[in-house]
Amino acid sequence: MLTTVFEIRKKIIEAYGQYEYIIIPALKFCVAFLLILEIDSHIGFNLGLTNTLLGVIIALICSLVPVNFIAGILMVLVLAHLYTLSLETMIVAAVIFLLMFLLYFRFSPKDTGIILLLPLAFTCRIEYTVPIIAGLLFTPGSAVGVAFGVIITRYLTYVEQNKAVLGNSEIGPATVDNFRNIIDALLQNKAMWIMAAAFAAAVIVVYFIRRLETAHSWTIAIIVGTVIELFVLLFGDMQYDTNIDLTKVFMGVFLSILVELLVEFFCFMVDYTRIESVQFEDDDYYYYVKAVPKVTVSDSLRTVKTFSTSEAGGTGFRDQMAKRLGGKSAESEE
Amino acid sequence: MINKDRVRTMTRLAIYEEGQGVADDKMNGYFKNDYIVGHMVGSFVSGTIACLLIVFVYCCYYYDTLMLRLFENELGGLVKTFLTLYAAFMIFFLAVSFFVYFWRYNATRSRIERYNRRLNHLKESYEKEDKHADNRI
Repeated sequence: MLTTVFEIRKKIIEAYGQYEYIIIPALKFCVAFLLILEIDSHIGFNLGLTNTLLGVIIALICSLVPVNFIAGILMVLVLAHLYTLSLETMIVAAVIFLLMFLLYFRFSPKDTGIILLLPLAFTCRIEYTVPIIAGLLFTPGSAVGVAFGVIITRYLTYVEQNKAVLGNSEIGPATVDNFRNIIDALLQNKAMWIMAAAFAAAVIVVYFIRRLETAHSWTIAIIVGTVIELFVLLFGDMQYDTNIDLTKVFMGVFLSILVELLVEFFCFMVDYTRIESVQFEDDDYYYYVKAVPKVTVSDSLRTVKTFSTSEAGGTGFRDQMAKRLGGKSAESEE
Repeated sequence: MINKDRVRTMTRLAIYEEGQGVADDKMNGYFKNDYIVGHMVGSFVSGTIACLLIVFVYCCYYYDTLMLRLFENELGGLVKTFLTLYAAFMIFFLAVSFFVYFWRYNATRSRIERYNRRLNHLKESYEKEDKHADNRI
């Protein structure tokens, strides 16, 4: 059973390697298109931009450009929708995006994917998985990216929930009041800050645990990271009364653990029962090396099917082969 | 007969050259100090723009109070506070930039050294083969 699972894994990895040039643009297209649909359904205030055909065209463009460009294109789309609602909401979003690019992506431009995946994860209720995967696959610096992702997603949720109030303003003194209300709502959204802190803490803890030399470090990192997330969220709820839905949180955490274990299965599958410790030296150093072998499976043996005369309805094996080869009988060949 | 070790080395070299090697090659054109200072100048500009954005948000938020203070010529204290906070932020931000780019440069150097070691290994492998061929003749 386990061997079959490992064989499937091997085949998937091989297929990915073989068709990478198709799979990566296809994935980019899917992620971009899903995000555009998300944007249109939640904050699609500019009806001209909610056209599905336009969404497909934008997603097609996104499939051909680097991930950072996808983030840029989608941010421009978000700003266009927010501008249609009100100038203040657009300014606040633009400030958040600019701060993120100026202060964070300057150092870590490869983490843009996290920001793109977080809104999708929120929709699928597996948002708790993003910080754990970021800790497993990236650097502790991703904590900042994850926190920014939470802020952006929560801000857009706030805009969606208060669109009636936010869309009523006109340019003038009301603009400043509206702007002040948005900033207040953002700064006083304790649930958002607690979630950002929980996710950032999880990224850092997971990163340092998965780098430990202990056996099953990835699994331990996943468990501890999840516990940290839960602990910070529950502590924040008790301290600041954020009214989080515990059933949703536990369901989300359960689903997230499944996704995380799947990621571990594909990215880090080693056999801890066959650890080898070797010791050697060269001119300059003594080396104490612990080698953990990766789980590998050899191709399954070919099965040979035998044909018996009784199974073949009285005709011989050679006759059957001859039929398959074009109707020539075994006798005529002779 | 195919030399497996050589094929493995060449594959690793090709993967590096087409992936991380492109970015590393650009970085390799700089001296360490030039690279770090260049990026710190960039960080200084980014940090300053970020601070200006925060000041802009602050000004929008406290628009009425600031107008009153402006008419009463009481902005001196606020400007001083802003400048102090700006200096503190920039010191922190530039320190982070320094460590990030210092570490990144060293990591790149070690990757390039590993690449050069593999190239030498490949060269030695070819030289050995040539020697064997000469001895046979």
